[in-house]
Amino acid sequence: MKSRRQKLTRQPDPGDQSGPRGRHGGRAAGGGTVMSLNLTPMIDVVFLLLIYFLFATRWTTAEGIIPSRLPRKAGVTAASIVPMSPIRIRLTPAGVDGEGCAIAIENYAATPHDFEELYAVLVALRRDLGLPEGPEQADEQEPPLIIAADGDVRWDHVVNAFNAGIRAHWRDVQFGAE
Amino acid sequence: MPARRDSRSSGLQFNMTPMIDVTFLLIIFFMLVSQITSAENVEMELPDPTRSQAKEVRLKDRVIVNVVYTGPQDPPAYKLGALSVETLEELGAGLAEEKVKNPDVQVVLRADRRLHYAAVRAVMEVIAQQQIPLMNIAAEQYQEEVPIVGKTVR
Repeated sequence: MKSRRQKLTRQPDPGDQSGPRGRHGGRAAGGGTVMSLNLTPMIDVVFLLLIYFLFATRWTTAEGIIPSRLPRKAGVTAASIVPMSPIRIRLTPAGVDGEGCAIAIENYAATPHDFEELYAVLVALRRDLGLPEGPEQADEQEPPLIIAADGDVRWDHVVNAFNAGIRAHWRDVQFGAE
Repeated sequence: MPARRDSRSSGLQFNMTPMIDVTFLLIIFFMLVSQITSAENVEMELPDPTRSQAKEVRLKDRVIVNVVYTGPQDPPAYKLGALSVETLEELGAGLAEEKVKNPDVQVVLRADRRLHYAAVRAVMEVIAQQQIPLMNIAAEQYQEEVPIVGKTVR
């Protein structure tokens, strides 16, 4: 009760010297006071909450990076090691306005319908080639996985295919040139 | 000795207005600062791969290249860091400067998911021409779906 009383400030009501009651439900004429609520502490707390939530909220979606490596030298260079025949993932536009994507793996009888299926195919392919299926490194050289996408395929699908390769623990995933 | 004055009877009150003013100024300051730091991360729809392998990594020596979607028929807009560049040649020149300043520089490629691969491939070729071997592709991170736990209705 004490704290409640402290929050209410008493102010003399000059217009109510002898009247029966104050207009705002204040005390009778004897006291001649009007009670008013002090809103300042509430506003302060509201501001503090506002600041807290401003800083606590993440305004953007969580963003990360998938590392990749580009060729060091442009043009044709002599390879020191004879490369293994690469596995090419072919992406072509499909569906209405080319928004979708058709996936095919060249020289391998597989046409995954989506990128979850592509991931499963890539895992199976590693198993068939005798490559380790986990994140451990293969002792011998791995064949490169090349993403050969048409120019009018959406970038979203290309990254999705790249991501499927990384997820299936392919070590050498490359973007094919035109 | 003067009698102790009662703050209520004398009408003395603590003036909160300056504190609220300062609070407002702090809010504005931090909002502006956060906008400046995110100027190089242009707002765009990043690729959202299935079970994304993208990780949040704080790279020390990195430069961000933004390829912004401007419309289905329009060419994309480019940004090197917080600066807009008009052409791929300008982008290449800017990257070459970054490479001179820091030979270990890495590129973070942020490209809108709606762009055609040809537009992004052109940027990748420019990055490769500048002998910057490490390129990181920005994508949305995988968000684990939280299963809804509830009673089974029989």
